[in-house]
Amino acid sequence: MEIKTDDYQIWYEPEKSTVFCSGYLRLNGSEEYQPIMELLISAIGAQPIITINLRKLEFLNSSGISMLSMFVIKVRQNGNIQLIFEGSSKILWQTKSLKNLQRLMPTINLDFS
Amino acid sequence: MDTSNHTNQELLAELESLRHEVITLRQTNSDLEIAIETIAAHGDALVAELQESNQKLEIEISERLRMEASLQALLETTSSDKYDLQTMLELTVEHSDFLEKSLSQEVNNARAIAIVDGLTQIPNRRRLEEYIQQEWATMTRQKNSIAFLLCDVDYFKLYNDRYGHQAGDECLKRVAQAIAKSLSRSSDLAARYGGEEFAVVLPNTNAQGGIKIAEIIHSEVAKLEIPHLQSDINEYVTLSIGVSATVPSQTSSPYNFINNVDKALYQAKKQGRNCHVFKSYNASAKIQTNDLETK
Repeated sequence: MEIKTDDYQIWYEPEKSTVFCSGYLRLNGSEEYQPIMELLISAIGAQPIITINLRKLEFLNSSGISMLSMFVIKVRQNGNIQLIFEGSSKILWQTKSLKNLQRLMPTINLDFS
Repeated sequence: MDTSNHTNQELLAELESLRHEVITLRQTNSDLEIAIETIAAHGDALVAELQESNQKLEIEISERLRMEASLQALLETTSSDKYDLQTMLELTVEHSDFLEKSLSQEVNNARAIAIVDGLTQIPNRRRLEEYIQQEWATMTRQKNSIAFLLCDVDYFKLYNDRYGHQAGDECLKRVAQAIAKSLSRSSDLAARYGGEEFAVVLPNTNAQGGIKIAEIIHSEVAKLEIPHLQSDINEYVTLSIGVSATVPSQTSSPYNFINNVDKALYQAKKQGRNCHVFKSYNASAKIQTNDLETK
């Protein structure tokens, strides 16, 4: 499953159990983020591990981080799922905000490279 | 014989009495039995009532315990929801504060780039126009004099033809630096006005002050000693400068004033270049007073 526009691309690779996000995400409000939220939720399958790769996500606005927070809560409520975020230490918002997501689910694994 | 009759009568009487007594006792017995049955039945009824009440109470207790458990669960969910919401709010706000700060920095950087001339690295025409509007208004309010200079590199096209465009660019860079160097106050602004033309805005400066700066600029450019073999008037690069000064008024605009400076520059060229010409300007009237010329 894939969402592709001029500004961003989001796709799911089931073999890697990973959702990839790249580009610039600055959609207006949670309604516009709904399709992306649905893609993320569909990735919560039977696998015990789910990885979200944000290494090429240059920009994410407030509505975006809010959507990611809700996704984290959904994963937590689902039970014993290991959630991994792959980020880039060169993208400054990631170094601050991904760490904050651990406040919602302390077992989140953060992998910066 | 009497005793036996007497005894018989006594016996009969006693018998009658006993018979009565038996009847009475039987009656009493029957009454007692009825009483006992009534009391027993009443007791049973009371026990049954108590049992019913007891059952009702037990049902009510179990109902309330169930409600308490479900309220407890709701409270826990609400507390955890509240924590989640609070956390989400905080992290979203922190994220957007961070974005605002970095975007604001980018805007400032972009703005700084937008107001600088790429080649000479001094303020560009856009910045000049913004600045002169601002200072014209301030000088109007304060009723102070503002001076303006237009400096044009003499025979610049011939310089380009002779030495090439790269050398021409280099020449412009050095001239721009020399002009900027001639200014000493933070409120003075030198900007690139056109291809080989530079403007200088001098707030709080009168005619003498403007002329003085023109002289310093000539001197600084002369110090550069940039060879210019195509120049008819000097072996080095020189400038022609137009100068004017005025106290702006409410009804005047800086553009007429700048036009006046342009005319002064034109006269400097006509007078043989490598000089400066002052043309006075009265912002409150359209009439111009006598020109003051200096070399």
